[in-house]
Amino acid sequence: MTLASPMPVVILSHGFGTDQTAWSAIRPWLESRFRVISYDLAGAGPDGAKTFDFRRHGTLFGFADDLLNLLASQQIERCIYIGHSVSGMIGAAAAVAEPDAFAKLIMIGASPRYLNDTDYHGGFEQSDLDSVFDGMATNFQAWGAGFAPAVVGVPDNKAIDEFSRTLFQIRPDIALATARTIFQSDMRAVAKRLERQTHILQTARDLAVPQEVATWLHKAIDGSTIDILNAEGHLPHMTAPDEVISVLERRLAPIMGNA
Amino acid sequence: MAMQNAEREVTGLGALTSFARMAAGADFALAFQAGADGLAVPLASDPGPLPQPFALGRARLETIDWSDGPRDVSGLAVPSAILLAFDRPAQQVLFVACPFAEEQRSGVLLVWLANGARVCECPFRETIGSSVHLLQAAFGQMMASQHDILDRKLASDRFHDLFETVPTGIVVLDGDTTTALVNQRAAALLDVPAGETDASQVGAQMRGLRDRCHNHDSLAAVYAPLQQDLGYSSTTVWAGPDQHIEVDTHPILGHGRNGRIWLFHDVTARERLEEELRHKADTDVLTGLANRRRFFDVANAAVQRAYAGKGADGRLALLLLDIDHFKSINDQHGHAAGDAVLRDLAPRCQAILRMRSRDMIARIGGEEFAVLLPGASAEEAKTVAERLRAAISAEPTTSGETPISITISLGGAAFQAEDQASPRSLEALLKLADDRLYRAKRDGRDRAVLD
Repeated sequence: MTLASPMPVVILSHGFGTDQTAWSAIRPWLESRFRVISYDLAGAGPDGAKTFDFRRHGTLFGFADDLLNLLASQQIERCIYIGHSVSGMIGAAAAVAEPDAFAKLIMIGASPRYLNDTDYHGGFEQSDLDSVFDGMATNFQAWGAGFAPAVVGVPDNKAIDEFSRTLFQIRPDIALATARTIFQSDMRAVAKRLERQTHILQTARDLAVPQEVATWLHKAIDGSTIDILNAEGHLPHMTAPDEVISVLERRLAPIMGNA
Repeated sequence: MAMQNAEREVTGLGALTSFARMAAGADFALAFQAGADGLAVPLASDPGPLPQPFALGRARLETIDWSDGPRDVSGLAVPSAILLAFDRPAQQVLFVACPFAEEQRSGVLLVWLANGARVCECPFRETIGSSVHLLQAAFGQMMASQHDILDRKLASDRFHDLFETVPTGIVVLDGDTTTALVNQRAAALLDVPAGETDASQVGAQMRGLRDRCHNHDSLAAVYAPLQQDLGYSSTTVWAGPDQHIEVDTHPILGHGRNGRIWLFHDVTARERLEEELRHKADTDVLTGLANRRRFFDVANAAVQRAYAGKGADGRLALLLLDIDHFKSINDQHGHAAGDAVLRDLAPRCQAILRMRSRDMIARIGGEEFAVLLPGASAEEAKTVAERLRAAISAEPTTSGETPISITISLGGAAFQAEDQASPRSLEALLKLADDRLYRAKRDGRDRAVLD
């Protein structure tokens, strides 16, 4: 009788406007190598209205606590965490709070702060964000119809349709509250405290996250690595899955070897 | 006055929180209230600023025995908002449970960070675990009063939300008659600034709006008692040139001052809808004629008038009209054709009756119609009935797919105030007309019987 060593666990945490179905293009590759667990962030997915609490999820720490609860309830002692967009910083917060639970973090299109600041280029002025919030509040459908193709960033109709479907699945008031929480967040201090192996994955052109932000994260997180993908848009795991997989293959190789 | 107290109490809880932190040599102290839902709402912290609300989640701080003093954070599932509030990792925590009212998971959390810069000489630190009950009583009392303040603040926020969300313009006049509180809707309606506004300006604009209404004379009468009666209240519609506004005014009872509230509710759309509903309730859907209900309303009123009248005003006639062999039309051509016959009949009858504007035709049953002829004598009614009969039998209906020849039978009855033999009620008139209609059917149909 042999005892097979358990497969390492990969946690997939999606970004704003999508749900866990966003991972379907890279999931098969991961599943042949890891035990893969994905989940819907509070407010997202078919049960979003039930999982979201306007006060609890008024900060990203509420989402980080949800992630830590998930790890606890699934009795996962150590995971490889792949987070897209806002989930990059959700993972960072969780990994600073409970470092032992995280073997490695991979952040796709993550940003610790969207607002510009002195010596920091987040890509947005407060007036930009205010007009986003106003647009969402006035007519969520109309706003989403413009936001979806812009954030996808490449003329990939299937991805735009898919993003729109999951975006409009979010109740408009919850979408607005989540967008406020995300876009007004400043997680730079948290990112600086992250001490787990971190890999940053960024596309060459991303509406939500300028390349300077990825560079800032790379410098701020001790020992981190970075790949600028030869792809565009904010959702490379949906629009350029092969490029993302080849990065994962290279960056996860040491861990797979251990397993 | 209330606010000054509130501020002093906030400072009190804040001071106690600072004292607890320093006495225990902790790096951070946070007093929060939390109920069964596990959402912690920070009330005071040292150092500040106050963190955002966070979920206690799996952290069951209140169930742990803290009598041995601070514990290591690992395994306690301390919420990440607390763990990440500092530039260094949190190492130890201690919780002083202060349950009160509904907020059973409330308490004060003390946090010690890793590599603590300060060397703690405080005597309290060693014994804090056994001294928790000392803190508990003081914190419990302070947090309960802080909680009340928060409730009052929430109530005031809710009032503001309500004030601005309800679809009603609101003007609240203060008892001293110098200031008015105006919400956005009322501000737009009256063209005054929203918020605290000069009462005389608001009053002038209200009078101006009232004077532009069609019914300004009767409105002036309605509001005349306001000069003397401070308890006066009324609900009246201001019929403005562009909109109809239902205006409520009431005195504000309360702290002995005589304030007054004015509520402005745009009822233009509602009145339009009511008019539409009234019309629908009175109309037969298929033919667009008056329905049975409407017929009885109008006929009863007309009979009352005729009883009281003399000469032509004391006259009234009614006809009952029934399509011959309607059942076989339905059987032979289908119900759609039957409906087309009914629809076609209505304007053809109306064309005959149009010469006398007071006449009315209504559909009172399946293929049964009633015609009311106010002021008509028996002779005139007979002429009308005969013209109706002749017009319908003269040409087939053409509204359906195939032309269908139809005939009608009529029975009629007339009332003359001076004639003691006339039927004395609408029911009696209808009974007589119905008997005659039956005779017209029995005698071979396509005829009118009025005597």
